[in-house]
Amino acid sequence: MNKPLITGMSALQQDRQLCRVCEKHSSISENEECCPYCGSPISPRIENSQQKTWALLFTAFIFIFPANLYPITYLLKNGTRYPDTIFSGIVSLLSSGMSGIAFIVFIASIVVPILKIVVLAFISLAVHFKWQFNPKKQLIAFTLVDWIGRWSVLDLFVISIMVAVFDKGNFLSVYPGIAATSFTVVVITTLFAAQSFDTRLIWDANTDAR
Amino acid sequence: MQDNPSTTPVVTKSKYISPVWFLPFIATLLALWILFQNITHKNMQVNIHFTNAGSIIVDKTKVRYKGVIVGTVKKIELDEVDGVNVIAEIESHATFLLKEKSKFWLVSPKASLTSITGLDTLFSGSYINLLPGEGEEATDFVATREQPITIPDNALLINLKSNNAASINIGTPIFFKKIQVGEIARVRLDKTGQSVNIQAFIESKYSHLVKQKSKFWNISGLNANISRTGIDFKLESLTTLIAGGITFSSPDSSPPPSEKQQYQLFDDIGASEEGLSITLKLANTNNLPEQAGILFKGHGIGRIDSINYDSESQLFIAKATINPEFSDLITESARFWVEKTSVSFSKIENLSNLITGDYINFSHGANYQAESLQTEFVIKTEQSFLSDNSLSVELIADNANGLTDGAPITYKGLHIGKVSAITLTDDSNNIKATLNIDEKFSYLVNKNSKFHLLSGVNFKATLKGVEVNSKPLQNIIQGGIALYNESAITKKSVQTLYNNKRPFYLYASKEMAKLGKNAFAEPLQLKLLSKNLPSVSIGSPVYYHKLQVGEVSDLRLHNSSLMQTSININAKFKHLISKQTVFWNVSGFEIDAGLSGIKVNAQSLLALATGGIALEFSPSTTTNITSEGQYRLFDNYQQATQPPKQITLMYDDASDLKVGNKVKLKGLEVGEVSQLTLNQNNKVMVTLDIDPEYFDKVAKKGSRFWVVRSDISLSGAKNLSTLISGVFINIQAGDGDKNIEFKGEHNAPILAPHKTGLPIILAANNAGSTGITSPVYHRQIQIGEVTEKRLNNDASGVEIVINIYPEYTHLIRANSIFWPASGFNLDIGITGASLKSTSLTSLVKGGINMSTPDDEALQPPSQAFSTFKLKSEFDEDWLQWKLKIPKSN
Repeated sequence: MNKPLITGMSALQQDRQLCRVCEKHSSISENEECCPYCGSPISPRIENSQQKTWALLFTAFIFIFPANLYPITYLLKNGTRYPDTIFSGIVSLLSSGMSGIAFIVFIASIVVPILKIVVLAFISLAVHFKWQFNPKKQLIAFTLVDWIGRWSVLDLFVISIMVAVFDKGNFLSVYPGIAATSFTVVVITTLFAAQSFDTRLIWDANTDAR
Repeated sequence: MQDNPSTTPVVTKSKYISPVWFLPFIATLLALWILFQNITHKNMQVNIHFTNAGSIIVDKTKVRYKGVIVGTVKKIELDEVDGVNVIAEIESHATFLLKEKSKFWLVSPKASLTSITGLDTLFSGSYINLLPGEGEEATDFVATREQPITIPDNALLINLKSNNAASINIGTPIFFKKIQVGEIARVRLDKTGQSVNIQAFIESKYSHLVKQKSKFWNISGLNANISRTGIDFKLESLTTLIAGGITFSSPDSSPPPSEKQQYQLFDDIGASEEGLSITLKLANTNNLPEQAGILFKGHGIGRIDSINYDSESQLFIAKATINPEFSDLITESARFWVEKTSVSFSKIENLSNLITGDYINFSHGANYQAESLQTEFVIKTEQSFLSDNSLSVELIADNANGLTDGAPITYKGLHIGKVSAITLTDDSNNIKATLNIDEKFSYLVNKNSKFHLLSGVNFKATLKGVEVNSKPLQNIIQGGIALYNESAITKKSVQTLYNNKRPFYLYASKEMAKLGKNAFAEPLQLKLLSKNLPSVSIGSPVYYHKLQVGEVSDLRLHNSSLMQTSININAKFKHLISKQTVFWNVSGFEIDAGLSGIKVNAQSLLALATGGIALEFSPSTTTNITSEGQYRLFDNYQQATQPPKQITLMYDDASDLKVGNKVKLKGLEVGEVSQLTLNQNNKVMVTLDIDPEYFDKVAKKGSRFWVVRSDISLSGAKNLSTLISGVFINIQAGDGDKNIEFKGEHNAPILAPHKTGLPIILAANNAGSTGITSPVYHRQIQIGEVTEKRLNNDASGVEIVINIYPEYTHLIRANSIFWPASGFNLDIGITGASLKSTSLTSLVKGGINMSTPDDEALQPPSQAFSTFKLKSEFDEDWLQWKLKIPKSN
């Protein structure tokens, strides 16, 4: 039964599937429900990968607007509340001469979330419509997005620290705004979207790769 | 599937929608909701015109209404014509506030003495405040320059009219009896520009205080407050000093104010003619400035408006205005007086008056409610702390030393009054002090009362120690007067109160006061004459039995070349001076130094220091008064009271004798050598001063006088004390007639007074080793001594006179045997040599032995000067005699 796998062909074509738990491959036809080795549920591809990715991406897409338009923090200074959006924060950082930090914040808080949504959406579209792009390049793009995406949490991390530290009542306090919640949703949904996307679908969709 | 078991089952994956799609669904709903909110609750942009946009910051400056942030400045534009347009976004929920008459003004921190506003803006920055108005909705506004006065609900609005708006501002408080009841809301010129219309409000809870006839006046402004005196009065409160203030008074019986009534705002209380006008009369206006304040318990209640001189009454007439709030205190018994600066060692009062000038103090009558109003008063120059019924007493004093105006009068340390005035008496000889004794103590003063000065410190130094008795510090510094009553006075006993016409004397001290009125009589002046000036100085005391009765007043040379000492005897002691009075000098101290020790006798420490004179009655008539009527001043007490009597001794040679040598009788000092002179016969006349007491015993024929010297010999030393104290003259009193001239002797006479006994004459061939004072022994006991040895009448032998001591005279019987005990007997025989000696003294000095045979009947005692033969041979048997000799025959 355990024929040696042929390179150049997908495992699906060779009737092999990979158990994601014990990482052993078995015959798709013989083991439809579960892995013959460990008994875990098994399927040749992540189930509903496309659907999940799209749903999460869509949520992230909706939430990215309030995350950028609404104040992410409220600075309460001497009894007055000063709201700050992500962008106004970057601007004020720039105006106070901290362009390096402004750049990092810009990358991590604005570019990366948008990039993630765009790249994931593009790859998903390419899979769906079987656009014949170089699957390796698509994989590199996906890996990059997947890797860099987790750094978006940094923003939330900073906000949570600020809220905890600047708590001097009317004199100086920081409160999170609506955008902080929205931004969290964006980060989480994009993370899960990347997680639920099965990169093997890139090859499935690419006819050249067969 | 059953009929074709070989065919593999067709796996059909059902197309279902993943539950993850629930997330974007919710997200979509939320997004739509937010979108909806944004569209419906659109912020409204308003345009507020400011003259300048200082401290307004885009995106920072907020618009607030009642403290709630309702908007944010979004943009600042320059207006094309003038000023700036501030575009602010008013949040949708507050847009209903934006009406035609809504007002905007910039709130920035403002600190004044009356209030601090907008303090929060110090931290949060300025903000634009919004006061909603009425009218149509609007978006274009013009900011007001100042915060519009917010008039509390139901407050009473009043209109005031003034000539100028001096120190009147919006917000200037309005006081009623120093409680803020309202404030100025608006100040503006009236249409004619002639006067200022002031709009003020009185808080509703105070609005009833304003009546139709209320009068308002200004209590504000520095100009009104700074006069030399007036600060205290005008300084209604610190607020009014800086920020100004308006106060008003309302008559009780006045209808409430009519609508739109306009009140005149007066410049001050005087102008309001509201104060009570009173007239004060003053004798002089020293340091009393114009506008002097009138204070009541330190609180200004009015001031003097003008002072005019009235030539008719020769008084200054001061017109003063009293604050109406205090007008009911100005009654008949009210008193006004001038508070002056008083700087003394004991206290400093009203020092501020040095700068501000004096002011008038006021105290109301105790029962002012029942009294009627009075508007004319005489100002006293000083407050009398006593009631008007205080007893006024006049004192006459020699001088004003220790007297000060206001000095306290005490009775047993209790403050009972004070000195109110010090003047000269009419004849300018004395000082007249007027005392005010408090009414409740006036019973203490009767005609027997005495006043004396309280000098600060009594310093009494004696050999026992130093005693300092100090009165309260105030008395030390300020002096004071004490009242002294000899007998206690009770309140109940009705005293013959003191008669006003007779003034009291002021005694210098309590002691003087005790002595009484004589202290003020003329002292008795006496002149004393003495050969030498006594060691006294002017002021030295004169004592009678150690009580000071006077003092030395003068020292000078008298015509008779004697020294004249004038003394003043206090009138009290005048009676001590009579013809018998003798005076002597007690200056310094006497030292009697002898072997027994040193005796120091000092009269008193004062006499020691300044010298002194003592007086005494002399029982015996001495020459105490000179021919010219002055008293003699004796050197000492002895001389004064008992002048010594004199005896003259004649000596061939007065070696050892000196003036001052003592004269002794039986060891008692009875006089001294007073003079040594040489008479015509070249004899030395020694004059002895003998105490009169002993004179009669001594000045008798038969008395013998000899010089006692120290005598050191083998047998002993005698009278060693004379080595130090000098020789003295001893007296053996005689018993003859009175005699005062004697022959002096150099040695003790043979029959010395203490050697009385039985004199016996021994006849011998030679004197042998017997010498004067050689002892006479009986059974080795000395019973007498050799007093003299001399040749007998025909020189055939010697007579040795021995004296048997009185206690042994009975031993000498007619048959008694005497033999010389002198030297020693040396018997040299076959048996050996034997040495016999009576005693070591006799060995050296010689001596005589005596015994009486026992084989004969007892003979009668020997008579004086009987003659015995001195045996030259000695028989051993004599020593064996054991005759019993009874003491009394």
